[in-house]
Amino acid sequence: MSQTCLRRTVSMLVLATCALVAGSGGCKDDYSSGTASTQPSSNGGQKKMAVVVSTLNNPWFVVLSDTARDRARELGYEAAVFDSQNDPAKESTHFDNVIAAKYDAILFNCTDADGSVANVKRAKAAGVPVFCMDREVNSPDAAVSQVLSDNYSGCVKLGQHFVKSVGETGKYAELLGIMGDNNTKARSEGFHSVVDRYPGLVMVAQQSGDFDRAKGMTVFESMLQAHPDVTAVFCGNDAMAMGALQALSAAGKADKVKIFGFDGADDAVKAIADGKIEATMMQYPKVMARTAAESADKYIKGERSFPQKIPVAVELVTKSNVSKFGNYGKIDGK
Amino acid sequence: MASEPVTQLQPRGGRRRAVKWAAMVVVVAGLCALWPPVRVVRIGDTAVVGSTTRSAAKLGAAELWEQRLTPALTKAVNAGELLTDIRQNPDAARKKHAREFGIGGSYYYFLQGTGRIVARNPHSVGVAIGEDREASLSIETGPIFGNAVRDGTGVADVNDYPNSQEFNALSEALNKLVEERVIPSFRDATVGKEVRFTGVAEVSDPDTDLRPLRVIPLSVEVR
Repeated sequence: MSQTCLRRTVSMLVLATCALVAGSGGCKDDYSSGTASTQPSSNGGQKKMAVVVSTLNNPWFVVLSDTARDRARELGYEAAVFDSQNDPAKESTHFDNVIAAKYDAILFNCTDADGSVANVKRAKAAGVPVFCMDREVNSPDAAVSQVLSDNYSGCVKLGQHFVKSVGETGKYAELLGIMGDNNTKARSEGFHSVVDRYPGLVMVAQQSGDFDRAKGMTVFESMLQAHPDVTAVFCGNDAMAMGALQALSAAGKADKVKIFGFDGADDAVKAIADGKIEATMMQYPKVMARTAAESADKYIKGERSFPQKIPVAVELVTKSNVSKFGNYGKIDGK
Repeated sequence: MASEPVTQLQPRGGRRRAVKWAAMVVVVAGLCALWPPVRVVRIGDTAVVGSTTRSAAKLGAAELWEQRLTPALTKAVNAGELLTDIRQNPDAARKKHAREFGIGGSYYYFLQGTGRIVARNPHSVGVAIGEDREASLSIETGPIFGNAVRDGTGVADVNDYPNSQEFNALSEALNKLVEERVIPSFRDATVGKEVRFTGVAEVSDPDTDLRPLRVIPLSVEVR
């Protein structure tokens, strides 16, 4: 190798090295750099937000996703809703498509707290910020921010009302939600943190109804057959509570078993007013959805300081205060 | 005869050394790219270094109680002053004294004071403050539920915990400490006794939760 050639080779290696160090590792810049004005616009014009929701088979999630979409549009973005149908594989495909279509932000309601982390990280690596709504992903920094209902403390309050309403002795059943969802664990744990302190209250059956009305009905039908003396049922969401009500009505026991739900769905709130369901906890899907959309808007416009988790309170709804609630929130518009 | 110019050639060992050095530089650069010794972080980014922002999560409930909660007891607002402010203007009292957490829902008062036991109930003790004849507030005697101890004192931040399960478990553990360490000292105190206390009160519904304030005790001394 001639001297000139050698010098050239070494120089090129050194230059390549400098480029490598400058271009990676030294900078924590996992999203697109610069201010909003330098953010690459997805189609050269209007920016876009994607709403990726776990399912549209439950009206509560329809309200969540529609509110997020509508708020994004009010803020001047194109917005589209992607239904994961409770299928992590479909959710992954949505992320592939959203990233490829260069959306500017994702408003995300995950299918699985652990399994969905990879999708959020992929979006982050591609420069697309993710804002979680309602359901948590188990990562402290994958998403920019997570707006979550305070499910645990909500079910502590529900548990306290359960004891007051059912008494300190009795047999009850529990319908759990989707097992991979942190909300399922939070609600059940909050409830049991209270009810388990009363040894006279005995849980005779516990099974997942997958947050689904039809499955909740089927599962509770079996529970009723196995435990005809049950006097109460705690359901991880209102869809399953309505399913339990259907099962009880079919068995002629609707007035013998107290039903407790969670969500504040319109049909459950009406059933409380009619005395058919004992209580639920009102979540505020519209608050969560709007907060997520507004956070995404701020991010796109350059803000970078967001709390990782923003808890949103839930409120007990019973016959005594049901007149304050409706339309997935408070009547006065919250 | 003219001598032929002598071409000075770089010794072979020197050439090899140069290539070796260049290769080493490339390898070191590659390692630095994978594990950077210095990180440049945009101002305002959260979760920067990691260890300091995670310190609460690394402490158990007992350690949080001793290292954060107990030293903070002296910072609680005077109960008499708080009750006066609430009676005059609950909204103003909330702005001045309350701690709020997240969006909507409950807020908390962190308070201390001295009063007289005027009533005993199955799960609480009624305490009159100042010139009040009836119970100005009630001190819970268990079981203790909810997040008032965790959120009302600010001993831990939700963003310090990897998921909500661990944050919720902390609440339960702190409540158990109240039941084990605080309540036994006054559970059997009789009407007429004076008590000096510090505690947290949660207000979910101002229509029902302000009169009397329901206080979860963090310290109680019966005199």
